Amino acid sequence: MLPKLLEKRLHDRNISVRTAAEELNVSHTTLHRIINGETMDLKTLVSLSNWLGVRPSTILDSDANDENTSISSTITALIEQDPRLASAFTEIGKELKNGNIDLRDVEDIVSYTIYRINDGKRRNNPINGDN
Amino acid sequence: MVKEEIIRLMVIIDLALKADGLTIEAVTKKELKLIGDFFALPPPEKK
Repeated sequence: MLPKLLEKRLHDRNISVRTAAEELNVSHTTLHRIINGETMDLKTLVSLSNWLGVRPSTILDSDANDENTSISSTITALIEQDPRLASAFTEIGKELKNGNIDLRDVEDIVSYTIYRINDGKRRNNPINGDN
Repeated sequence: MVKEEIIRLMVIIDLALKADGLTIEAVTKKELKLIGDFFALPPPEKK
């Protein structure tokens, strides 16, 4: 999803990757690496989301917003997979209940969580990390 | 613009994933109930 979004934005604005990188305040090599599927940090993700005018979950292209899977069952599965996330999702749930975030925000956070977990798997097992 | 609150919560996710190991047995029933209660309500919005 991200390469297509970037390609369209570059084409629509008729600018180079280097110019886009300058606007994003990252090096052009970093932007090339992201386009080629390498992972990015949170700061870059937020910059890209704002620059492209899309939600983080759109960039991360995860299955967190799959219509066939409820957000609560995805969160349950994530906590079962990695119990360290329980406290974090308790905090996120409180913010949801207090009205400080909405369900689309939760989808963004869940997408980010899946992205980070998959990144960790790739780092620990570079050959089979995607399986 | 990505909300500051979302960024803060994503940072909490990052911190949680860097924390020392925790087994599912150590997650309290109270925590799991809270999470279940929070995310069961309100109902998902139609897109």
